[in-house]
Amino acid sequence: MAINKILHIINPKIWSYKNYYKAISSFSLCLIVITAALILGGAYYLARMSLIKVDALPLIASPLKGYLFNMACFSFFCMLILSSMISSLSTLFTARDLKLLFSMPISHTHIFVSKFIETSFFSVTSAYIIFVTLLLAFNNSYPSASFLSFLAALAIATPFFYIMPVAIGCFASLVISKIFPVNQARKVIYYLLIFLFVFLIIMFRALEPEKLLSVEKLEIFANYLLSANAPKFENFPSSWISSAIESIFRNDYGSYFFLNFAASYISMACCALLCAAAARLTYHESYLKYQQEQETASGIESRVLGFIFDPFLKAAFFLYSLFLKTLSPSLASILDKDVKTFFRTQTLIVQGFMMIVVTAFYIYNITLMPVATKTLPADIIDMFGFANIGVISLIVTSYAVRFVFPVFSLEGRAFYIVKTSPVDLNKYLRLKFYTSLIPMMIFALALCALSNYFMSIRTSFLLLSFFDTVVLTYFICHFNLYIGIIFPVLDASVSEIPASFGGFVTMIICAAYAGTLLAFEVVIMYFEFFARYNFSFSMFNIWEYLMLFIAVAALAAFSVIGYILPKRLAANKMINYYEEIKI
Amino acid sequence: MLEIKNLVKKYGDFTAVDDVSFHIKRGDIFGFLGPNGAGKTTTIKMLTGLLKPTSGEIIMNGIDLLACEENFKNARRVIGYIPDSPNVYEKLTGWEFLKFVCDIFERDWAESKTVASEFLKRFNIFKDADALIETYSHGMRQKLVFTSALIHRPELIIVDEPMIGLDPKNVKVVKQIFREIASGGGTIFLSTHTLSVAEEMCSQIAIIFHGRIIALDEVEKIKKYVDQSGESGVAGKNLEEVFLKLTEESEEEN
Repeated sequence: MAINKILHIINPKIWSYKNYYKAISSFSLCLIVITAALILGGAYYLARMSLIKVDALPLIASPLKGYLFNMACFSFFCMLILSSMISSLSTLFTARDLKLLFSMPISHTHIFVSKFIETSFFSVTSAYIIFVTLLLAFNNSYPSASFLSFLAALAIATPFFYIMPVAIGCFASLVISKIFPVNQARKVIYYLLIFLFVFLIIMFRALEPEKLLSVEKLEIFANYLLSANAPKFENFPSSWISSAIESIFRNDYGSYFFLNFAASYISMACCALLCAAAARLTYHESYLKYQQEQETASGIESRVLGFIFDPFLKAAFFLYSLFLKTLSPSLASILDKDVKTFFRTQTLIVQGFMMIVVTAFYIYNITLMPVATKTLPADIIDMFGFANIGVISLIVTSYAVRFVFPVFSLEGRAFYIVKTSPVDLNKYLRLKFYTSLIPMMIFALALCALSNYFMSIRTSFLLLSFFDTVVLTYFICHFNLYIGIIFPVLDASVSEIPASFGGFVTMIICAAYAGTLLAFEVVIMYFEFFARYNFSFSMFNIWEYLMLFIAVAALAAFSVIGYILPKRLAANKMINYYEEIKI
Repeated sequence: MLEIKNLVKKYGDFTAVDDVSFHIKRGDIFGFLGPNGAGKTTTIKMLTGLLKPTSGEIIMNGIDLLACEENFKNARRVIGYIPDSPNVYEKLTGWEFLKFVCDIFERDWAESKTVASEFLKRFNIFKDADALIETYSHGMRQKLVFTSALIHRPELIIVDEPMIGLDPKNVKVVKQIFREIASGGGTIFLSTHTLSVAEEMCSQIAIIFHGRIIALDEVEKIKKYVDQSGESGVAGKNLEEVFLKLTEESEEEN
């Protein structure tokens, strides 16, 4: 009976998703399925190849593999806890259907359970699909494993990862919401998330993966790992489940398997019970408190540590005001509105901070690479410099999809205000483009300069890097902005916008463009490399010239389509925006 | 002031607005009535430039707005639009939002701020204008949208369902403001379901049904028109009964 009642609450969500997918054209659906298959296939291939390399390592293959699986489970587990904490705040307190549900004759426990299932589905599923490919790759790397062992591993991993992190996440949300107002609880969780994210990266750095690249240090690394100096989380639920799964892969169902299995499932049950108890005690009360907060109007909050940041903010604000004066009042006002919206949207700030942390660690890792320590020949260092362009383009793409792609969606349903004003839409588009491009270009060039400085590549490659960075950043911003207009995401939280269909398409196309540009330049590199050894045109056969032609043609086609088509479609979309969208 | 000639909007085979024509004089409060899905909002979107008509003309102060984009752009400076849903930029404060609207309509903020303060006080949200809009209730947002549509002193105000979310006190304030604007030479295009408001306020009324205008005249004349058509017992009753009678007749004809 209780299950039926919970299903009654969940059913409308399922129906709305069914209707959403029915509305997607079969072409788009095929594109999504093919791309997803390619991504999963790629992830499996990379994981499998890496594990084959690990298997080939003398002495440490087996412990390293176990260690890597433990780390994968730990990272996945932590990531799920964090995403559950964020999702549960929305599903438990701010979801639009809650007002209706609480006004109906439904038990609060049933509402909570249905929301728990919703949180579990949304915060776990997409990451879990990737995890399953990793699980398959690990399974296939053990000689004693079979497809049956993979299914057995899946059977014990699925309930664990779908319940335990979500129970912890929901419990944390309930407790934090009990202590702080819900709006403040979101901030507290964001800050926790940042600290945990930084902690995870530090843990990864503690592994010192660069030592694997240095043959003479491999033994030290092996000893380091074998003597268990490396960070491990033996008394942690994710380690218990990873050990139990590893036992299945090894076909070793000794006492350790049952001990680990029991420990992980007992801890899962305890967390679920704790969460249920917390929900019974606090959920309804916290929800009512949140409703009360919504009724109370408040002004802009004061800044934390204002006495430290205020002088810098004042100086920045002065420069910003001077810049605004160079624009017409209408464009300055639009820009000012966008800047204020950005800095008052907590999610964007947190995402920005996290991306900065990742970028800082990327630069730091480069300083530790053998290329930076000049232990490799100059030609090889240049190759690294060349590959670095691809990495920079990926970093810029991931920034752009978070900050440039949502620019138009952030206008939301209030776009009618601009559309019914005398503002020229072409000028409006140009403003949006350049205010996205300029900070992204400064960031990309700084990233390029820093990483190449540490790698000490030759001037010709340095110039090539800068040229490519400019071309790629321009394309990435251009594409993100216009595709963001063509596929706007209304009525969704900022963090959900990059994960939409348009965001997905943008990521794929930008990566493909960077790949095509580099593929084209690989041919140039190839010619340049041979030029050092008495180059002559007759050195290359017809296939190599054909390859050059295909690369140039693909780049030209990509550029023309990528620059012209989205801009035209976006301009058209803005003119006919209200044919499809309700105000 | 505003003349609409043979306005048509088609979505594929479906005709949302079918050959709509009317004329509004300066100083008029024009009521645009119709049941849900009749084509009211589509017509309004075409008048505000949010939708492009399939055919027809929109003439304002003798200028055909659809002749070129520049004409519409210039006309927008003197049009104020109040939609049925008060969607605004939630991360701005009330004052910031009003300054934003003032800037994009190319008006002087110092002058407009005085006008805005006056309206905010009349709507009783002056003290909330420093708070972020995300903390506003539906009614407060609606009042802010009203204020933002009025601060650039438009000649033509297009209002879609103005009374949704407003309490009786503020409904009275809105009615009073509309009357003042009309008596000062402004023109109001008022789309509403609230027939009593239309009856009380409007000098002229159009009833749209299935995309076509089925009645267009002064309120009293519309009542007489129904009576003269042979359907007894309608004349002298309120607009609600007349409206229902007319739409039923049209439904039967369809």
